[in-house]
Amino acid sequence: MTALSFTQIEINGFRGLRSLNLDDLGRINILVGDNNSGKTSVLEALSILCQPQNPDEWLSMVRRRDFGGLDETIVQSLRWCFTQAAITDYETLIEATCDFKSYGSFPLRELSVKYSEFMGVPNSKEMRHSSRRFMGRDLAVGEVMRGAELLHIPDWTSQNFHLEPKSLSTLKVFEDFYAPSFLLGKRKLGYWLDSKTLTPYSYQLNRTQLRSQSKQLFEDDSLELLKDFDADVEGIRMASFSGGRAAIYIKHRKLGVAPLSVFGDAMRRAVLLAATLLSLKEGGILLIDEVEVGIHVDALTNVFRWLVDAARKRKIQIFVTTHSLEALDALISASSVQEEDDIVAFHLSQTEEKTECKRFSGDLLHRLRFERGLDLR
Amino acid sequence: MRKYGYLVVEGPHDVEFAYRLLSPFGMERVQFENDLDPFFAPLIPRQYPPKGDLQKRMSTPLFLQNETHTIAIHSATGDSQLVNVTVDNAVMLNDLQAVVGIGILLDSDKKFQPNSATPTLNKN
Repeated sequence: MTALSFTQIEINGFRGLRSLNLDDLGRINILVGDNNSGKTSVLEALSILCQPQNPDEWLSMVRRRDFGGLDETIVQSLRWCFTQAAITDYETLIEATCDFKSYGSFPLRELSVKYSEFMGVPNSKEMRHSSRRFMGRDLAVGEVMRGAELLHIPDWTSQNFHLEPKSLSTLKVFEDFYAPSFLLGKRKLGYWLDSKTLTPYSYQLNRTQLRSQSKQLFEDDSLELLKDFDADVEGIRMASFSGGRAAIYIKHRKLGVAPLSVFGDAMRRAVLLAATLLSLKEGGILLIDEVEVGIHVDALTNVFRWLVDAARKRKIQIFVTTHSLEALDALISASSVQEEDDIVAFHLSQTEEKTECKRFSGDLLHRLRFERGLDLR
Repeated sequence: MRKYGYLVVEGPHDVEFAYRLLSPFGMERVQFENDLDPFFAPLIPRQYPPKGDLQKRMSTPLFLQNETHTIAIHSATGDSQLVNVTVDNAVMLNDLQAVVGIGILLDSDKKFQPNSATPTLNKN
C-alpha cells in the first residue's frame, strides 16, 4: 500500500476530545459512535493538522459547523474549540492549549495550539480590516473589546521545510470581526497538506467551490457516478448562457441540457463529491461529515465503490463519519477482499477519563457485519 | 452492577450443556431484550439474513441472568471458529474490563481431544 499521509494521529484538548489515539489508519477511515462522541471534531482536527502554519483554518472550520452564519461571535466560537477551558462563565478570560501528534508521510509530528483571550484595542491596521461594523454601529477608535489569539507551534521531522524547527504563526480576532492573520517574524506560508471538507450542507453553500472544482469532472470517468443517481444523465458541462456566470449543466435524455440546480440534492451532492475528490492533489485528505446524506440507500454501494476506487487511484486518504448502518455496509462492501486493509473503522466514545477509540480492521468489519450481523455504531 | 461472564462453546448442544450446569445457581434464560442487562446488547445480531442465507440460524448467544450475574454463552458452530468468535465479540463489548471471566468450552470426541486443541488456542 502506498504510504499514507497519516498513519496515526493523537488529539488532546481540541473540543471534547481527550487523549484520543487513532492508530493504524487506512486509506478509507470510517468514524462511528453516538452523538457527541467526537466524530465531527476529529474531522475538524484533521483540517487543522493539514494546515499547521495557517491558523486561519480555524475560522473556516468553525463556520462549517454553523452552516456559514454564526449565531455567536467568532471569539465564542473559537473559545468552544477548547471545551474543557470554556466551561466557566464567559466574563472570565481563558487560556487553553490543544495538542496534536501525527505520523505518516506528512512530515508534521506535533502541533501545539495555544489559545488566549484578552481585552484590548484594535490597532489602526486591524480596524481597517474589520469585516463589519460592531453590533450595528461603527467602531469607535480606541474602543476596548474582547479578543482572542491563536498561536500555532508546529514541529516537523525535517527542517528542510522551515529554516526554524518550530516556526510560529498566529491568528488574532476581536469580538465581532477578525483581522487578517499575521506571522510572527519573517512571513512563511509553510508546508501544508491539500485537504477539503464536505459537510451535509456543502452542496448548498459551496457553489463557488463547486464551479471551480468541476473542470476535473469533464476529464474523468465520474459521469458513471452521476448515472448511479439518474440513469438518464448523458453528460455534464460548464456553460454560460447570455454572457451570464458560468454554471454546471447536465445533459439529460429527457430534460435536454438543464442546470444542475433543477436536479435533486442527491445529484448536487454527487457532483460536489466527485469534483472535490478529483480536485485534490496526490496524498491529499478528503473529510466527509455524514457521508450518507443525500444518497439513496440503493445508490450507496456504487457511489462508495467509485469513491474508494478514485481514492486509491489518486492516492487520496479519506475520513468519513456516519450514523448509517447502510452506509457502513456499503463502504465495507466497496472494498475487495484483497484490499480490505484499506478500510478501517473507529468507534469513538467518551468516558470520564478520555475519548476511547476502538479500531475495526477491514476483515473484522466483514465478519462482524456480514457474518455476525452485529451493529458497530 | 452485575458481574459479567462470557463463554464460547462449539455448538448448540454445548450451549444447552452449559445452561444445565449453571441453572442450579439460579441462572435463568433471558427471553426478551428488555430484560437483558444492556452490557451485552452489542452481542445481539441486528441483521437478517446472515450472509444472505434465509435458512441459517442467527448467531445469538444464550443469555443467562440472575440478580448478581449475567453470562453470555455463544455457539461458535465448530471448533475452528472458537477463537474467532471469542475475539470478535470481545471487541464489541464496551468495557472488557467489566467481564470477570471469559471461557472457551471444549468437548471431547473420538477425533478431537481437548488436550490437543490447547496449543492451537494458545497460539491464537
